[in-house]
Amino acid sequence: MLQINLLMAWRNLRKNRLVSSINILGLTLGLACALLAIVYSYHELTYENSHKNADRICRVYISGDFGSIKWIQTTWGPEGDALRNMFPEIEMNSISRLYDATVRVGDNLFNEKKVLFADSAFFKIYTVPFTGGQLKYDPASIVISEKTAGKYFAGADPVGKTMLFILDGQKVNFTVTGVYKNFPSNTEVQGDIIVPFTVAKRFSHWKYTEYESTAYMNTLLLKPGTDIKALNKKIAADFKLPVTVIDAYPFLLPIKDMHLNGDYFNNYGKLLAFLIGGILVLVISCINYVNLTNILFSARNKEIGARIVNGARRFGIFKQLICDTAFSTALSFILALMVLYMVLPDFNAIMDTHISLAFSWELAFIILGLFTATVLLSGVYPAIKISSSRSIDYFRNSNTLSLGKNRSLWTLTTLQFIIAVIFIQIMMVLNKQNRYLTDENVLGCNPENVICTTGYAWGDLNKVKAEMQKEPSILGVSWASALPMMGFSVSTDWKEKDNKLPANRLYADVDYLEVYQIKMLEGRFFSKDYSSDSENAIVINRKTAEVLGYADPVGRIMLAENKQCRIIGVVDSYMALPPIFTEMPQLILPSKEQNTNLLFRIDPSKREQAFNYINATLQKINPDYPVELKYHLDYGEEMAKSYYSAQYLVNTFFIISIITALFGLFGLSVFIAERHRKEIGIRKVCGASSFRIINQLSKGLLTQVLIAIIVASPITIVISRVYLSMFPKHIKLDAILFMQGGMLALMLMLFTVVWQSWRAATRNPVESLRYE
Amino acid sequence: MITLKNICKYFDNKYNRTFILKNVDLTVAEGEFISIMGPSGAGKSTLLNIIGLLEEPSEGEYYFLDQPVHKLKEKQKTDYHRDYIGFIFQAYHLIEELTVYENIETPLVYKGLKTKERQAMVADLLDRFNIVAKKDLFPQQLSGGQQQMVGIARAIAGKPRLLLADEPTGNLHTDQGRMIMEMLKQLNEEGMTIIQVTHNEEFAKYAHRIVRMADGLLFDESKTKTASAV
Repeated sequence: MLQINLLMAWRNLRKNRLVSSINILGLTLGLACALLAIVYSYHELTYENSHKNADRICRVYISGDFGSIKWIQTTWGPEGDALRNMFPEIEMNSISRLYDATVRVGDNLFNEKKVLFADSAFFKIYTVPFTGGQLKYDPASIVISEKTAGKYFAGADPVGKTMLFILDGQKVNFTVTGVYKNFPSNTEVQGDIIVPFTVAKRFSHWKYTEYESTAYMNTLLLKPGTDIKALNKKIAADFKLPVTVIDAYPFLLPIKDMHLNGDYFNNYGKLLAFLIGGILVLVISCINYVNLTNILFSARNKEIGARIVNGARRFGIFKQLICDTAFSTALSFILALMVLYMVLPDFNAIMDTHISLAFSWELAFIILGLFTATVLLSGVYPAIKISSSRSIDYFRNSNTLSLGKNRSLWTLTTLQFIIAVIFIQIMMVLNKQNRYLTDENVLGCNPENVICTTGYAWGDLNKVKAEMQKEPSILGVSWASALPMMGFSVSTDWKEKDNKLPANRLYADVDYLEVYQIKMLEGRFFSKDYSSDSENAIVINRKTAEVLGYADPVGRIMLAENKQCRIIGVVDSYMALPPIFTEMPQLILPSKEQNTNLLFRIDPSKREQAFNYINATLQKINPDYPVELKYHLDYGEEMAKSYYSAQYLVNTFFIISIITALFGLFGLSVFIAERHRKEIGIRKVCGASSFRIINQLSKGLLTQVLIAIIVASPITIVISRVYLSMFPKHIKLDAILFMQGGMLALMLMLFTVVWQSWRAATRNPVESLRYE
Repeated sequence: MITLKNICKYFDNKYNRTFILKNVDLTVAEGEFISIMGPSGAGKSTLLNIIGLLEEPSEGEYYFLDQPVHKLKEKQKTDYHRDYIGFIFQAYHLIEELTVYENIETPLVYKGLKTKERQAMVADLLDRFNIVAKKDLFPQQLSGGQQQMVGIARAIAGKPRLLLADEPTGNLHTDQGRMIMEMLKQLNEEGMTIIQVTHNEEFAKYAHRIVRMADGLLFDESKTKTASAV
């Protein structure tokens, strides 16, 4: 029986090629999205599972008033030891820090962004499996990941080999003693190279034994059975931090919670958006499926009637129809898996993950579950509906099936339109906000055509500047401690002695404003012509002037960096911090001859020339350092990768669901045109114009679209408000935006529907009537 | 074999009741061949559908093989379709996605016969109806007469005791129609009870008895034989 049912399914599929392809393709899209969402969620929800002690490991966070943010993930160096000494629940603690280094092995010269300085406890707390060599914990030895081994040693055994590190300008040789398995992508523990923390003694500015900088990660291993909430309460009550930050106290976050709840990027929200997006796409495609299948099945009335009089049971008919659905779903699944297989590499690149489709029982289970769910969601309703009709109805002409008369079909398609309209409108809001955030007037600066590179490898940057200014394609050169939209260096030692209000510090060279085209409000920026600038000059932003309450700030003296500085100018408000932060007082101080970022503004018409010149010149100045040039905008995207990737993927999901909805609409219009084929012929013979027929065919669908727009708009407004509230600077939601969204939806749907109707309406009536 | 007592079929509208069948009494003995004739809308097909258990009467009693059919459940009706009743339609109603062979096989599959038995039975039928060469074709590839032959072959594959034919020749030209009627006659001679609905006087005469209908009322020809001879 099953065999016969499958055969029927296949023949039916071939018979209704167009509608069946729409059906299967739509379902494929839906399934691919749902699978991706599920696989991704699985990845996100199994964070840190690779560490055996994961349930007992905590990271120390600091809660406090750090200006725009209320907590930070990294801590002051001595906190770990102090906590362990005070609370017996803590079994072990580890200090570590991620740092940059330039590494050379033979001709291989790279900048390493993820060099982890870690003490020996790190290896006891976390699970770091070695694939070659072993851990030998002394100041001259390092261990490297398999990826790093491949990068520098290309297949050769790295154990025992030497690697030359340039750490903050100091050259150090290390011997590789072990190779560890790459950390999986679902762990917050990062590090391509692990260097003994004792090496930190070489750097005088790493004051990890003092409460000086919050650059360190303190990890704790708790004794089994410790109640973290109770411990956190004890810590908040008993542990005092010797720092000036308002309300500062440390708290412990289990590492399993870190990824979803302990990151500035809302990974939890991202996961939710993903799951909801994936499931919605699947729901839309299932609705499509139900609609089209209803139609396909109802075209089979006579066949089913023939079966009934030949002794088929209702349940047998039901099984046959379900078998049909299962067959198409299985086809869609195979296609969806192929699609998934193709997009995974790109997905991994965007999301920074290493999700693979290698066989695992979990994956098999997920796929089986999704398969069953899809078959049930999309097949059961039409199958029940068709198999439970009265016998005689199978033999009556069922040409009455149309959208207007079939309430469930009508509801389902309207629901689908509502979702599609919501998506279109939200996408428009997202994109408008994005455009808004790159608008010069909003930013207060112009980051386009600015190239950045490190400022620490080329010696005195004044000499570099002189060299670069010879090239006409380079319009400006400067350096600074931070880039606009990416700065974050909070300080409270300004304004007055016991000030607790944080301000953002920036050290900038004289041409910074020119490179970023930031406007000066009053006074002047630093200049070479005033030698006293490097001693006590300070530039503030408008917000600082407001906070200080100076009506005429230029020339006044203020406290900054523990010394009296003279305000020489006020810059206009510009976005110094990432867009999700509210504006803070900004203190701009003159930079020394080196700083973190070296910046160039280039002539957009001569990009290649500028790139080549900068590359060659920097290479000449320091052959030991790999030159890496990046556009400010790319750099920004990389810094906020999580934010951009989420947005990118949400957009993709939205587009796919809209396409899926249009697919369904297209299928419906094909069906309606097909069903009315004879009627249209008759009407035309009776003298109806093409326009009238198009109007008649499309009217019902368009009413639905209008209803969808009316229902969808309030929902979009709520969602958009929540989204926009993340940004201190955001667009205003106005009626025009929603009208535009609705119009776009209407246009898309009109186009989909009218095309079919047009074809049906302009067909020669002789053709449609001939075979009757 | 069949006893209909006071069968009514009607629809209630807002203001009035529309009768399709009104107090129909009919008795059919095993081995009979009956033609039902009458103008369009007389209720012929509805009567046939009620006899074939596809529709339920609004009122009245129906005994099939002395069983009160009006009390049967859906599942039992299916069993009757499997074991006792075969159908032939004006529009053939072959399953377009199945070949001739598979169409004929369908009732046997539902009866739960094994593949071997089915093969033997279908082969016999193909042979008998002279369509062995057509067995792998799809219905659309056959002429109307051939399709109806397949329809009959399918209808009798399950060895029913009653064959219901709703205008079996309606879509066919005279020669093909005659061929079909000869086939029905032959089946009847082999012992099968047949009830057919037809518009064609010539084909109606293949039956033992002609029943005329008008406006939901039934007139039994056997009682007014001279009138029909006109």
